Formats: sequence, structure tokens, C-alpha cells
Amino acid sequence: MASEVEETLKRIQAHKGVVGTIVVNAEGIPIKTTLDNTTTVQYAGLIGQLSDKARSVVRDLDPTNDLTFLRIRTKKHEIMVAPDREFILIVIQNPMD
Amino acid sequence: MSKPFASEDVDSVDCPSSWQSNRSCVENASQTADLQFADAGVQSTTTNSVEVQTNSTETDQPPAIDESKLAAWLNRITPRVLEELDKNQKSRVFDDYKLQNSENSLVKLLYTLSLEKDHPQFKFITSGIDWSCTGGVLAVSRCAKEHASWCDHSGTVCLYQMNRPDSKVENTFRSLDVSSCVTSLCAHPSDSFILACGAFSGEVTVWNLQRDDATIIGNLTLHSEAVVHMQWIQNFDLTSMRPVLASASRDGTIVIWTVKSTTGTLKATQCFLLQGEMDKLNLGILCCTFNPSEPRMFLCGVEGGSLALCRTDSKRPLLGKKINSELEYFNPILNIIEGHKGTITGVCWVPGSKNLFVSCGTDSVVHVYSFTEMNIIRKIHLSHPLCGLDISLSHPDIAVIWDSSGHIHLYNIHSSKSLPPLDINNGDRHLPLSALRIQTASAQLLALGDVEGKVCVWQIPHSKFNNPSES
Repeated sequence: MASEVEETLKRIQAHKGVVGTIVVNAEGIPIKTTLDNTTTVQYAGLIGQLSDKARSVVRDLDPTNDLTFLRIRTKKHEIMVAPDREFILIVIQNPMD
Repeated sequence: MSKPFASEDVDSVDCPSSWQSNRSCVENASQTADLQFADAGVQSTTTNSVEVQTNSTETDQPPAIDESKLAAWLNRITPRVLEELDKNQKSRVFDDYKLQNSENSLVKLLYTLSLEKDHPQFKFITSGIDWSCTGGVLAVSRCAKEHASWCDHSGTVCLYQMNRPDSKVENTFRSLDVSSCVTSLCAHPSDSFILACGAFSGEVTVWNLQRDDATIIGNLTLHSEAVVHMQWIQNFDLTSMRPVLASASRDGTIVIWTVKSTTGTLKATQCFLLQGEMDKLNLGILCCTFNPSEPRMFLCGVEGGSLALCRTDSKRPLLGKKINSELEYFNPILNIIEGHKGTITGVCWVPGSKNLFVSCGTDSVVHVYSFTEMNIIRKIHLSHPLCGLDISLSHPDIAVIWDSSGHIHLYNIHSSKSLPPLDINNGDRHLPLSALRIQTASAQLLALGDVEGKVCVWQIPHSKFNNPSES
């Protein structure tokens, strides 16, 4: 099973322009990462909070709705967040490549 | 009482000395008590020691996770994530998005277009620049610096394609040949594929650039000297949407042309000749502008520094002067307005205003003239002889004026305030500019041509055209 997860993450990581991939669990603790420790902890904490907030915004607006993706465009990267009840997948992409 | 004048004997009187007396001396003695000494010492010697020791707990262990659940979820979500990543990669949505206050708000040199490689043997000045109506193509014409007699150079108009993703913008993507030096250039206001140019010989050529081999819609020589100004103007026949072309020449003639790109015809419909009232001498035109709101009205800056206000519906034929059997010359002059002390180098009607125009000359003065007051309402004195001016449709209240030292001044016509000059350094030294044009479509690009044939394309943020207090 573990190898299957690793395989999938490798697939995403090998995609064009992808700088890093992080999987965060429901408690906000990073469980898989391709980045260094400090960066991972920072991303997991901050992006986790933001995606929770975004999700609650979407649900408050319409209780039948849900957040599927959250994309953050910055001057340097594009951060894509795929939130779920139990996990959050964070992919950091460099769109200039 | 004795008699007043009787003699009398008086006893001697003794006066003892009162200032010399014996010094008195008294003996006395005093003694201070013995010195007393006291010593005291204070010393604190308290020390405290505290020791703390935490036992590290093993927290580095990753939390227990349900690998199978994670794998299933990842498998489910990965295709969509990959799809989105692909989309991101290809997306051009943010390409033109500029963050405010980022480096894009600076004046920046984008391209330098030079002709030196192709024609090193001649020294050319940039005689005309114009942007296509879409802003995608920049047309540049060059003209030899000096003509001793007639022009025996072969002229070219070079087209440069902006917005190219590769870095080949600086290469000419097409060049059009003309029989003599090109002195004036004008792109069609709505059809990006039509380009008109006027040559030193007086020839007017209109191209259709739709196909790879640019086809000439027509070329005719009705002027006898260099064409100094070309402008597409609204058709006088208001039922027709097609603009007509006006060309003005140094010999004092102005020709209005109709251009039909579909049938490929170029036809002169009206001819005018500026002639002085008194001496009947032709007035050489140096610059010209048509009123955008009332195209029958136009202004010509003529030799001697004055301005001629003209109308195309003039009914004063110049007898005996005909181009051919159908066309007769008319004198369009309504009146002569006092202009500049030196040579007049630029005149431009303020877009959106029927009554205002701006002119500049080698006397370093900019005039703002109002027809409602029939007078110059503002004069701006600058430090160098002025070479020309342009007013962009997107910033109709800002006159862009360039001078012989290569500096560009911005001036707000309505508030009569001058804006901070553009910080443009055209290469290592300030070469006099010979042509300038703001991109019509977005007004963020400025093309500058200098007297050595080099054209620089600058990016100018919109904020530069606003007063600092307003922005």
C-alpha cells in the first residue's frame, strides 16, 4: 500500500513544473512530503488553515456545495490545494517552466 | 556786643591729628579637634542555581495513517490534479496581468529596432512611426538625412510584429519597398491590414497587407514635394463608414483620397493648394492636423511659423490650376492664425474637443489655442527647441512633446500642469528624436525614433499619464 501512495506522489512530482507535493492529514500534520522539513511544516500549517477557511466559506454560502480545488497564484508559484475530509493534497507548481 | 572792626588777640589753638593713631594688637589662639576616621564594608555573597532538564519525547514519528485510505483517495484525486496542473501550465490567463506597484509600473525599454544591419551605407533618420489599430504591428519608415537634390534612395517601410512569444520582435517581419525615401506613414484606424505612406517624391502609396506578398492598392504622385503628413479622417459623406485618406505636402497641396481595399482603387477626390491672399504664393506645409470631431476643418503649420485654418468645403477655386480634367485646386484657407516665432514643428487637434489645438515650434514654446476664445489660452516655455507632439486617444488631455535634446515632456492641456517628464534614456546619449507614437490600442507602448534610424519601444505605465496628485 505504502508503495502505491509513493508511486502516485512520484507521478505528481514528475509532472511538468511541479516543485513539491505535500499530503496533510485531518489534524493538519504533514504525512507525506517531497520538500524539506521546515517548508513542509510551514505549508501544511498555513495552507491547511486557508483551505479550511475557504471550505467553510463555500459551505456557508451554499450548504449543499463543497470546495473541490483551491488555487493560489503568486508571483513565483501556483499552489494547488485539493482538500478532502481526511486529507489535503498540496501541490506547488512553478508555471514559468 | 563788641564792635565789629575792633582789634583783638586770640590764643593759639591746638588741632590734634586724628588719622594717625597707635595700632592695637590683641593675641588670640584656636585649635581644631583631632581628625576622626570610620571604615565600613558591605559584601553580598548570595548565589542561586537552578537546573532544568526535559526528557525528549519521541514525536518525530509520523502519525499513524490509514495507507489504504490514502492510496484510494490519492488514486481518485490524482487524474484531476494532473489535469489541473496541465491546465495551469498552458494557461495564459495571467500573462498580461500586472500587479500594481510591481516592477511593471516602471518605464521600461522593451525593444530596440535598428536598421543599421541592413543599410549600413546610408545614414537614415526615422521619418515615420505608426502602430496598427490592433497595436500588434509597428510600421517604421526611414528617410535619408539629407537630400541635395531629388531623392535617389529606395525607400522601405519595415514592419515589426509585437506580442511575439519568441524574441524575434527586433527582426523586421516584413519590409515594403517604395521608389523613394518615405517621409510619412499612417496606419488605417480600423483595418489593421491597410497602411498608407507618403514619399519624398510626393508619391502616396496604400498597401493591403492581408496576403503574404503585400499588394499595393494604389500609388499616385499628385504632390510635387515630400509628403509631410498623412491622416485617415472620417468620411465627409456621413453615410459611408469608410474613412478617407488625407495627405499634405511641402509644396502646399493637400489631397483627399478614397481608398477601396476590395476593388484595389486609390482615387483623389479633392485637391487643395494653400496660397497666400496677398502675394498668391504657395505656402509650404510643414505639419497638418484634421479635426477629429469635424473632419472638414483642418490646420496646417506653414513655412514662417504661422498656422492656416482651413476647410475642405472651400468654394474658392484657384483658376487655371488643375490636376486633371476632373479635379480642380481649391484654396482652403479660412484665416491665418499667428503661430510661432521659429519653425512650426507640430500641431495636433485635441481629441474629443472641437475647439482646442496644441502646437509647438523651434522657439521652444507650446501653444494651446482655443477657438472659442479665438486666442492662445496657454503658452508653455520649455528649454529646448521642440521637435514634435502627439496626443494619444487614450489620454486625450495629455500632450506628449519631444525636444531636440531627446527629452519627452508630458503636459496636461486642461489643468495646464506639466507632469514629471518620462525617464527615458535612449541608449547612452540623448539623440534628438525625429518621430514618436503612442500605441493606439493600449497606450502602454511608446515607440521613439531618433535621427540615427533607431527605434526604441518603451513600456509606459498608465500612471505616468496621470497627475501624481490624482493617482
